Amino acid sequence: MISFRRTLSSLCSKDKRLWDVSSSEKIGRQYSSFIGSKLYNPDDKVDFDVSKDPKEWKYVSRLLPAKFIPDPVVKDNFPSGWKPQSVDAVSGPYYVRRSRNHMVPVYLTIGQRGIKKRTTIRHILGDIWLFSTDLKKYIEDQVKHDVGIKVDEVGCRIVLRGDYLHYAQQFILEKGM
Amino acid sequence: MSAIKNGSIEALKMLRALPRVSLANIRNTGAPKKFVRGRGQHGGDKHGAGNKGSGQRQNYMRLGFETGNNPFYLRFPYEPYYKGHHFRKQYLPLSLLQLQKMIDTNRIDISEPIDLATLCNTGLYKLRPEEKHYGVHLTDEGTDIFSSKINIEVQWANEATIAAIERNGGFITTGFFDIHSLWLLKDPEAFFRRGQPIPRRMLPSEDVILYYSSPENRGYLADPEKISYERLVLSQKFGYELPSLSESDSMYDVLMERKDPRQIFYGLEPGWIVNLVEKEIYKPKDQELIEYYKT
Repeated sequence: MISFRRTLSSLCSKDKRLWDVSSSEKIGRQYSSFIGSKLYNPDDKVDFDVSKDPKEWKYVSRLLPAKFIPDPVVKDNFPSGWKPQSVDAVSGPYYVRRSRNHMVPVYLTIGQRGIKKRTTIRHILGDIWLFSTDLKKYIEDQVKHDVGIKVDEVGCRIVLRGDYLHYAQQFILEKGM
Repeated sequence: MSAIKNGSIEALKMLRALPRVSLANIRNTGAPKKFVRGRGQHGGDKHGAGNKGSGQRQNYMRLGFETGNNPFYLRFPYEPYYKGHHFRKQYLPLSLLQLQKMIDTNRIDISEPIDLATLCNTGLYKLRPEEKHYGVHLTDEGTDIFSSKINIEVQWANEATIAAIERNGGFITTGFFDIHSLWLLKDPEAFFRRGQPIPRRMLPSEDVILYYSSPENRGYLADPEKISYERLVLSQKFGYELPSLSESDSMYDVLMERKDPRQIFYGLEPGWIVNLVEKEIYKPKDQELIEYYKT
């Protein structure tokens, strides 16, 4: 019994975290576990340099994302096929606003396992009925068949029955919108 | 008047002739209800568990058990196509056309080197490291239209993509990032806000180390001299003249910027802490830390 108590007291007095370790072990030390961690001493301060160098801060600032979507810069040519809106496009009877990413707001939705295809044109401002007749004529002249069209005047959108994404985009781009 | 009087007399006469309330015509409501003691909490009902069999007795069979059939999950002895599926790396594709469109719409600044953090910061490229997306696979769609002089670091690229970038005088490097580094590259600002030291970038795992050490793939661990030789070889294979880069070129510093194999962000070394509020960078001076973070 006495020997058991002695063992117990010797175990209690020994704090395993105070074991001295060599520098190579310190590097591989696991601070996430209790045994591997060091006792925290508030008097120990880790020495460090403070850098306020703008040349180094440049590397940080370019990693911070922009708060707003930047406006496109006017260039001579855009190899990707993207085009900015022309200035005089606003003066026409109708106008299609670009999306917030400066893209033409024409979208294709495919439903019913590929059976139902709908092309939606959004943000149509001005005379939407004139726009719908012009667009219908533009597409039908090329595809040589009738195209179903639905005009949502309140929602400023037009839905075409079928996949006419390319034609609708080309129509809008040709008008400079 | 007399008619009304007569009417009430007739009514009373009729009432007298009607049968009286007696034991013979009232319901026996006072008799005690016969009590039947059912077994269980709700008097022996089935607790909504059906009428018969396994369902009623609620002895749910183990998952996949097909009541005596050879179960589906044991029917096929092994499924090798799933072997190691939880280790397989995915590279989220981005085409050269998409990249060119981002450049055209001013979403990417080509006067700085492009890496995964640049692409993620546009908000148009959604990397999901939790789905083992190990970075960007730059695909060759739009090789013919691509015409920007860029310095880009991607995680996967094929020969045609490399040729398309080098044809325009640009540089491409394929670099590996471990999954912890990818979380930092996905949202560097969120990482800086945490106030943690920038970790070391780990070396590539066994399955991809050969890819990232090969000069044909412009691997970041390959010998730079061999890479410049391979640039020439590729230009001859695809039939374009490799544009030479002189130090007087305005883009020289941008195009020559590379990351250290242990570095996650351009210009920021592992072990540094970035303070976004004070706009300061803290660098450790402790010898133990310097030893740990050195490359």
